[in-house]
Formats: sequence, C-alpha cells, structure tokens
Amino acid sequence: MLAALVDVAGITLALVMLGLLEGVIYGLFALGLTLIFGVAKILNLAHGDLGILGAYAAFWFLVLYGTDPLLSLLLVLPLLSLMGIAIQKFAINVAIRDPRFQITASVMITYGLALFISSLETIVWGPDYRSIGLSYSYVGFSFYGMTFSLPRLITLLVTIATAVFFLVFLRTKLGKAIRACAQDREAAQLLGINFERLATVSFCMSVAASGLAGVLYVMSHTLYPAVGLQLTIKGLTVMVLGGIGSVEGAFVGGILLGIIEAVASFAIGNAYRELMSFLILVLVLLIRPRGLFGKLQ
Amino acid sequence: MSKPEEKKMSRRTYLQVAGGTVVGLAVGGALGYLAKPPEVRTVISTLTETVTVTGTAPPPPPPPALGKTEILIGGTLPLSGVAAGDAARFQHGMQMAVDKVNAEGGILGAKLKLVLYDDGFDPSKIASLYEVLITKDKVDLLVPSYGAPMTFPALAQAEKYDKIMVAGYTASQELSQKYGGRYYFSIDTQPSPNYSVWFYKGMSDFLWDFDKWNYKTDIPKPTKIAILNENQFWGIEQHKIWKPMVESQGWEVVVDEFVEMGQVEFSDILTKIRVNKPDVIFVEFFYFRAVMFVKQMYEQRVNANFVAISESGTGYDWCDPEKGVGPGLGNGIITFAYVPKTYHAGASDYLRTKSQELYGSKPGFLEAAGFAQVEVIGEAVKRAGSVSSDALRKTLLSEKFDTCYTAAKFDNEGTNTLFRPPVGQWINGDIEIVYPVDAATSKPVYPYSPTA
Repeated sequence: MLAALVDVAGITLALVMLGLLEGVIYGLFALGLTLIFGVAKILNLAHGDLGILGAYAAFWFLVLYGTDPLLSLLLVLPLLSLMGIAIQKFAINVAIRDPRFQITASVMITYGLALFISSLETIVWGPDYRSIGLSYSYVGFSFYGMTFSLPRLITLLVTIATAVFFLVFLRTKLGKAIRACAQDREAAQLLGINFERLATVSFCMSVAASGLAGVLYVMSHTLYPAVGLQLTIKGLTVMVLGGIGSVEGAFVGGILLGIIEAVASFAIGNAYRELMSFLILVLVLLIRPRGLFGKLQ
Repeated sequence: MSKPEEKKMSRRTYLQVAGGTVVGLAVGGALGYLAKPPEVRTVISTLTETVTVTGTAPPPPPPPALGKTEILIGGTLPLSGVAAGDAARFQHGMQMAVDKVNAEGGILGAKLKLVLYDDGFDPSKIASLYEVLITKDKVDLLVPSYGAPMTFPALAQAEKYDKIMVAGYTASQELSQKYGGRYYFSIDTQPSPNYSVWFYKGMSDFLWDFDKWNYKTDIPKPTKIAILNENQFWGIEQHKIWKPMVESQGWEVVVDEFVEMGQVEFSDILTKIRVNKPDVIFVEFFYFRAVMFVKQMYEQRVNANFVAISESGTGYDWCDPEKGVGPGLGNGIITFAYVPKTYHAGASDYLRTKSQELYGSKPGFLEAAGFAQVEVIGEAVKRAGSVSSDALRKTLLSEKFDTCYTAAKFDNEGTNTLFRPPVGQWINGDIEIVYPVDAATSKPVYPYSPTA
C-alpha cells in the first residue's frame, strides 16, 4: 500500500514537473500578450508568429554560423524589437487612434500580419519541420524515472529570470507609467504621460518577450510555420486565465495550464488534454471573471 | 489668386511623341530579333520563307487518339500548413511520374498534366476546390488529398460529376465501401475479413510470428502493447479493428491513446508508456507527428523492445538531423510498402535515380505512392483508349497493373487484392526488410535502441 502511494506521489510529482516545464513557455508567450493588451488594449494575434520568427532566426544563426540560440538572443531580441517599433508605427497606431474600435481594428490588422508572417516563413524556410541539434539537447536529468532535458531546464531558469526582471521593471518610473496607462489611459495622459510612446515601448517589450519565448521554444520543440497561431491561442488562454494585464498572472496561469494538461492527459486520456484546459478556464472565469490575478476595474 | 494655366500638349508635340514611340519599338524589335539565338531566327525565317514561297501552312500533325493533347489529373494537397512537408513529397512523386510518362511520348499522343490546388489541410475547402477542378479546369481524372478526412468531400464531388479517383495513399474502409469500385480505386489498401489496413496487417503478422523468427532466446515474446493513433477517420477506424485483434491474440493493451490534429507535445503519453512498460509501442501517426513523437521519446529516454512506426517512418529524411528524428532514429520497425531496395518493375529504378537527382534524397513511401497513382492513371487511360469514366472504370476493374511498389488488381470495392506489404526496420541508417523471412534482407534487431 505504502509502495503504491509512493509510486503515485512520484508519478504525480513527475507530471507536475513536466507541466511546469511546458507551462513556462506558455507563460512567456502570454506575458507579451497581456502586457500590450493591458496597456494599449491591443489584441495581437500575430504574437505567436512573431515569436516563431525569432525561433527561425535562432535556427538560422545556429545552422549558418553555429551560434548557440541563447547567444543569438543578443541579436534576435533587438531585431524583433525594431520590428515591433515598425509594426507599432505603421500598423498598430492606425488601430489605436479611435479607442472605440481599438480591439476590433487590432484583431483584424494583427491577424493579417500573422498570416503574412506565417506565409513568409513557409517561403523562406519551407514547410518542413525543423529542429535544432545542440550539443546538450539530449543531456538530461532524471527524477523518479523521468528524464528532463537540459534545454527545458534552461528554459525554466530563463523564464524565472524574465519574470523577476518584469516584476522589478514595473516598479521603475517607466514601469509605473506603463501601469498607469494600463489602469486609466485618459488620466495618465492628463498627467502628462505620452501614451503613444509608452504603447510603443510596451509593444516592443511584448514582441521581445515573444521572441525570447520563441528562441526557448525551438531549443526543445520542433519548429514549423503553422505553430505560431497555436501558440498565440495558448497565450490568449493563459492571459485570460491569469488575468489580463497581470505579469504574475501570465506566469502562474501558464504553469497552471501546463500542469493541468499533463495531469489530465495522463489520468483521463490524451483526448481530454485540451478539453480539461478549457474546462478549468471556464470554471475560473465563472468563479473569478477577472482571472486569477486580474484586478477589479 | 488665379490658377496657373494648365499646359496642354500641342498637336505637333503629340505627333512627335507618337512617331518617336513607333520608331523606338521598331528599332527595339529589330535589335531583339538580332539578339535571339540563331535557331529561333532560323525558325522564324523558315516559317516566313515557307509562307512566302509556298503560300500554304505546313500540314497539321495527326490528331491524338484521345482527341485531346492533354490529360488533366486534378487534385488538392496541403501545400501549406502543418502537413505541407508530407504533401510536397507526394507532389514530387506525382510529378516524377508525369515527367516520365511525357518523356516516353505521353499517353496515346496526349501529355499528362497535374492540376493541383493548396487545401491547407482544411477539409472545409475540399468540396469547393474539387468542384473548381472538375467544372472549371475540366480535369479528366482525380487524385486525393492527404488522408481520409480530406478525401471524403472530394469523393462526394467525384460522385456528383462522375469522375474517377485513383489513390496511392489513402486508406479507409468507409471510403471504399461508399465509393470504391465506382469512383475510388485505392492502390495501398488490402481487403481482409476484418479489413485491416495493410500496415496493421503487416505488423500483426510480424509480431504474431515472433516464435518463428525469434533468434534472441533471452528476450521473451512480447505481450504488452501501447497503441497510439491519430484521432481522425482512418485512425479511429483501424483502431476499432486492430485493438480487438490484438486482444484476441492474448496481448494486453496497456496504453491506448489518440492524438489530436494539432498536437505537438507528447510528454504525458510518454509518461504513461514509461509507467506501463509495454513490449511494443505502436505509433500510427502522420509522418510529421511521428517525427516529433520519436524525438521526444529519445529526449525522455522512453524505450520498448519494439518501436513500430506504421508507415510514417519510411521517408529518407527520417534520418535527417534537422527534418527527421536525428539521433533518435534507432532501429524502429515500420510496415510499409516501398523500399528503394526492393525491386518492382523498371519504374522503381527511375524513381530511385530521379528522386536523388532532383531532390537529393532517396524516395520514401509518400513519393512512391504519388508516383504509383499516376502510373495507374496513365496505364488505365492507355488501355481504355479513353478518358471517359465508364471506360476507365471497366478497365480498372478488369485489368492488372504494375506500379513502382506493388502490383494492383482492384476488386469491386476498388481495393487492391495484390498488395502484400513487407515489414522493414531502420538498421544502420537504412531500411532493411525483416519480414516475411523469405524476403528478408536482414535479421530484425531488437530490443529497440535509439542510437542503432
């Protein structure tokens, strides 16, 4: 009996660990989404695709120059940030001019952008599945018979560092201004905060976060052009679950979703993996509509 | 303030500009003619001379036997989206067959031509695309998209407009029962009392006959199996047949899972496999998903005595470290139809050589399936002497065909009664036939090892 209990405990812990390692990626993708939606009310459906663009860039740097993906972040993040500025200036600003149609316009524009990026990726890199082989890709650590690869553990550590960074950043002067815009755009503008500039900064950070998530994703997953939209949907689910505009919510929501999927799939069946995620989401929204960490308006 | 007067072009200026344009075009044309290769100039001169001297055009070529110069083969493939890589292989196979037939003079004076649309792996697009193929493009015959869910709506159109479809790679009992023998002819299905699709039949024969070919006496006969299927028509159908078959042989199904169309993460299924310790892991996925699964198996160190990857693991980029499973390749067992090592008619040599020349790799089953369906189409039209559906149907139901990977004779449900798939295994980076024993090119290697 005791042995059986130990077995169950061990398997459960292992599943939680698996869910955690997968969920941190969801959380990273959700972070950028929640940031830009919270501040500027922009629903960026191209978020996942921008991240995957970063993943493809990391893939290219590795294949062409042998650069480790973590090192290629030094180039990928600034490049994606610049791209974010360009998208913000020439596309998103059009959407946010009239707050009444902001969400609708941003959905239409960013969905088009998502299709464009996905098609571009298919043309440039082809539709085939790509994966990167690092010298440490298959180095793993065992826990109760489970093996966790080093890239996934690195992803966990980088995500923790990113979460800490954002939590600290939001307490700086610039971070407080961003939070003020998220709370009340008009009041913030009345206080002299340049909303458009902050929306640009937020969008930049959002795209950079997505790029970071993309690079970490490709270290332990297979890459293909269509995965961007799937990750956007996951990110949106986590954003709503964790609370729109909440950085803590993004991470906690992502981890929670990862664990729910892993446990549900093992305990009930793989077919129920996605079903359980959405069931939990609906339950959370019924009990707490603002999400786990969302604030009352 | 008054507006400045608009300048109008004078008549003289207009005539100067127009005249200059005409002169420029004439000079440019002359220079262009002089810049053309000599043989083109010769042709132009000859034609001009012929018209000038004889005053009559050269005699027209005799009309083609079919009354047309092109035989249009229409279909859709998921050329974008998640299955685009697989679709590209299929397309390559078809195009190689078309090129081969046309290089040999075509069919009764007519050249084959593929008309393909991108369906994006979206079943909702299929009906309208096939309607366009049939009514606007006026294709003569059809080929399927990728997979049974994509073929059903296409066959509804085939039935509506009385068109024939020949499939090198689509397997579904329901498809054959509903449309087979009338609109649908499938090269890679095999009738049996339980209508088990060939790769299940091949694998089950291999596993049930373990005592016959087992040469490692310290490894007991496998009795526990993990069955993993795609959650769509084909997977569900075959699962309904195969699971009872497996259980009736005294095997225990310890893991029984379906994966969803968009699924890319399998850690939880692998955890279940690890906990339940099956002797055989049987994976029936689309190629791209099988690659992801086997990679994750390797990453998480999940093994069994046998890892059977249905027919997906036959593409030679399975070995590719980027596109394929990389170091997780191992000695996975596959039931499949086409192996470059097997010989079946001269087309197999052509396919092997051309695939290497054009695409830099050996052909896999998808290429062979695409190739085979065009082979059958071409041969059927030649023997029928017509592209009419009635004549083709009669020919397909009565004649025997040879393709690059199998002989084909269709029964009245359009299933191929001559298909006998071997079982292969990846050994040292190549596919060897391990079963049936008398056709084997190598002994099977087990237990499964990811780095073999």
